[in-house]
Amino acid sequence: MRSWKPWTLLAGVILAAIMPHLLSRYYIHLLDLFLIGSLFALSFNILLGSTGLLSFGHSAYFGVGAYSAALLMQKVGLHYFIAIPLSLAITGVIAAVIGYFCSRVVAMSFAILTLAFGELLFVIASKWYTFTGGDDGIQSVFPPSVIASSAGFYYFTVIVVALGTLAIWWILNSPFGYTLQCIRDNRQRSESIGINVRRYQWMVFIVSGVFAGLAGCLFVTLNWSVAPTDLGFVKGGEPIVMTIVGGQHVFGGPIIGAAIFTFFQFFVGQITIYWALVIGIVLALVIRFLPGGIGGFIQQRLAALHQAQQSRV
Amino acid sequence: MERYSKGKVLACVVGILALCFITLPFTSAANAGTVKLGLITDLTGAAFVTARDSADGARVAVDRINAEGGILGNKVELLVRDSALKTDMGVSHARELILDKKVNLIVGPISSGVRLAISDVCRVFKVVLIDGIGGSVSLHRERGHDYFWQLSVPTSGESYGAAVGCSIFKEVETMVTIAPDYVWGRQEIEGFTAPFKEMRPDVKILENYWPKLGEKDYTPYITAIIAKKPDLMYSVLYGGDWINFVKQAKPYGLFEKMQVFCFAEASSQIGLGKEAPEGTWGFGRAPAPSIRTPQMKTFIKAYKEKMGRWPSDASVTTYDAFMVFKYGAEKAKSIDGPAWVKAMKGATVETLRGTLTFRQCDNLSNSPEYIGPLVYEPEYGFVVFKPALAIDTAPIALSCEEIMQLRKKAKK
Amino acid sequence: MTFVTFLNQFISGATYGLVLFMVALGLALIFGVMSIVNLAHPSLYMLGAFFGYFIWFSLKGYYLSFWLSVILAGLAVACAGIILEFFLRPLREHTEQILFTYAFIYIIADLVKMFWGGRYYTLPRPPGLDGSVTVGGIILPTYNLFIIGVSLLMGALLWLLLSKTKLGKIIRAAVFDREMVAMLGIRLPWLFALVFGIGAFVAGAAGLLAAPMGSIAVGMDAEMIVPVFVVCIIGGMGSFSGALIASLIIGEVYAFGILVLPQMAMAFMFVVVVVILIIRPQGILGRS
Repeated sequence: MRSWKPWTLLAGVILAAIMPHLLSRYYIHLLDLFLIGSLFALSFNILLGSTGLLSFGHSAYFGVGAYSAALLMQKVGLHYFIAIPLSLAITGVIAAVIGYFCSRVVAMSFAILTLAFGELLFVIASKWYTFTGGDDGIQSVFPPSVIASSAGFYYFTVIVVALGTLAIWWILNSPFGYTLQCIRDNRQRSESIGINVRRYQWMVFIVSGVFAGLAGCLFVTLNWSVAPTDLGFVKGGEPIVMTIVGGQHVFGGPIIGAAIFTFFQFFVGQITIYWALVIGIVLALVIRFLPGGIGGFIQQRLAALHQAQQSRV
Repeated sequence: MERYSKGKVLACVVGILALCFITLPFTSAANAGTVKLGLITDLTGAAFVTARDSADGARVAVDRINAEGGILGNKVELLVRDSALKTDMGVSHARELILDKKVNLIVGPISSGVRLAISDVCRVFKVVLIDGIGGSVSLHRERGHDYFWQLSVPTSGESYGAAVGCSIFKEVETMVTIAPDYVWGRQEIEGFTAPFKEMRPDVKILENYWPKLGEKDYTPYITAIIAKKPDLMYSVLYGGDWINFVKQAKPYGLFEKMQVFCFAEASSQIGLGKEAPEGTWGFGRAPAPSIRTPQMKTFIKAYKEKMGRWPSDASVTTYDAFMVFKYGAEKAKSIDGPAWVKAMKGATVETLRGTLTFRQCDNLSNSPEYIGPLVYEPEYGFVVFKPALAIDTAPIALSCEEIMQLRKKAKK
Repeated sequence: MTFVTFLNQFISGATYGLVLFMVALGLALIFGVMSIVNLAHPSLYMLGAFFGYFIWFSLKGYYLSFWLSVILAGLAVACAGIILEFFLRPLREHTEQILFTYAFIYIIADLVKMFWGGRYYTLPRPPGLDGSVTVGGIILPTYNLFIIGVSLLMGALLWLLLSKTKLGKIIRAAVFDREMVAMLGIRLPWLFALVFGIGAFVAGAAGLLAAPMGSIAVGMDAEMIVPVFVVCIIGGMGSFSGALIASLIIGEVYAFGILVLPQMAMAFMFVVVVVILIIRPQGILGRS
């Protein structure tokens, strides 16, 4: 059987490389937003798709990553490339603290608790005017000149997001990842075979938080600013919509969802101010009629197609 | 079987992505020969009432411009985008409007934070940004630049006007202030305290209260304020917050116990209607029904006809922003950013609020702040300034040297 | 802190908390019976306020117009709730249900904005309740006391419905054994629709009842989401009495928190949440 994978990957890499020559500046900007969004959604799906945990406050770590990078660059004067790993460390610490409390509860309480903590960070970011710039946030956060051009920043984003995606893939397919699936599928049984569910929940919380923080680091130098709204409940809805529409059970689902969401937001936003209504309806329709999201739907169709082909043999 | 379908899934993923992005350029229609002007405002979220008024003011302005022949003979197209109080949306829309739609002007938004982020974008791409509604002083001070134009009163001028207003009450000996606890609220109190202390050193400010923005329950503040027995209360609460405060304070008789001087922009007055308390004085940036000039009358008439309701302060200031851009384009004989800026440096313009002049060094206009007693008028169905006194805010502006110092410090 | 301040804060905290309680009641009922977490419940609260405003506006001048509006608004929201439940029915998994109701937060919010957005609406307090009572020299707004009373009444009525009436027995039986109830000839879909409708009614009525104390505007739903769900989590999902205790705790923590550190009053709420969830992860009166 012809293997599609290497050819598709090659096509994808070439397409990615020539994008700056195909699209104008603004569309490259949207492409960057899509890439950052997919990393953000993928990090979210580590919790949802792989571990079965629904977090409404995931934007908190995204925001912490963005704020840390901005503050390290502006207040401490660090170079962006040094600020990134440091802000990932900071995000990891915050995720560890919050995760400690959130991993003690399950399901609904988890969802609401993550929401509550997200809002708490939002309040802190808004009030601490001297440190975080208050509700104005931090502006004029420019990337270093080597990646400051439109194409330059785009390539940087592609590379970082690609590495991040590979890292997440590797984690999810490692023994750690399989343990998570075990916990997702049957919590009680996992405990009975000796898995420390609580500790795994804590660890996965930190891991997914750090990747969200990485997305945040890219975000702040793309937009040249960060504000408390990048941490709150509304921002926290973005990875949820992306993941559900794209499909939580397929690895590439969040990526599809990110593309659709980015596309929708700006296309629909040009036609009507009621874009939230449109997104709400799309989300509701997908949940109702396409439970695995679009990615899941594709996978089903292909599996059915393959079945049909097999049975013909 | 697993590996096979995964490869195909990957192909479908790449296919969908490519589809999404290749079709994007085709979703924006190009309209040659028109001048495109952009309004980015916060139509989703807590500020949407003001944002909607701002958008309506823009529409009335563009209608009028087109009725009078457009800008330099070209028809004007207004593009409105929703920043939803989020800086990333504001920045993305700014880039879309500038890079893709090629607008020559951006006005807005309501949120100073989002406007600060957009200001960077406009500066880098050399597109004129006019504020459209007051806001934080950072915009024209330390973060100011050639392409940002402060057409309406920033917090410094506004609070100065309010201070002048409060100083009128000679019998007042003690007072309290109440303001929402965020950047804008803090700036309003800061900008009030210093000039007021100079004008009335005999008055003691007993306490500053800082409820959070969007506070639902003002009872603790109300009872605390009444217990302090001040002669005057200076309030910067606005919109839904002010409405909540009024409704909760009335049963306690707060408005009979002290003189209240409050921020009086139209949306909360319209919201309160007859329930607005009697005897209060207010301050505002552009109280349309209270400014009795012929051009304002014409504007109100046109606005009511098109929108079916009364214009608010944001409608007026946004309308002014677009009309000022037209004036500048005609003066420079160009809609190009650098040429417009050059022609408008230090220029004098006619607005609905009278004749205003921009300062050379920081593009700050000498917009007045309006104060006056708020009186219920059955003709409107809500309280209006009767009369509206225009306070000149030029005296309070920082000197050009101070502004340059601040900017130098900020760059480091 | 004087006694006057204390009493004022206490009443104010109780009022706020009990409004949360009314919204949480409906949530608890729906969750208890159908195991559905309705994230859009605060949106139903907002719908009640808006529907109620316009109903009241058309009925203005009629005797008892406010009370009639409350009932009618509640019924209107109950219908909206039943429609939502109908769409929710085919979904089996909890995650799907939560996310579906989450989508409705955006849908309802934008629909409200589309039809009625654009200004603040204020509702005067109904005649007879718009003044204040003076208790021992302390002024207390009458309406606040009324809210305290009506919310407790609503809780009591709902409890009576569940424990003393035949319908209540059926509902409680359905919680324990759905299949058995179905086999006894009760039409489950109708029962669940009814339960959802009752929960929505309470939220919608609460929306209009709370409206005279503030303003009606888009965004009312967002303000309610975190506090209401925090109440449910602390009290234990599905428990009425848990919701009552939790809402009073939250209300008072918030009211007194304002005195200590106004901008961080919300933070106190989180401290309470964290502490309670550490001691008792299932909530005060939740089932383990």
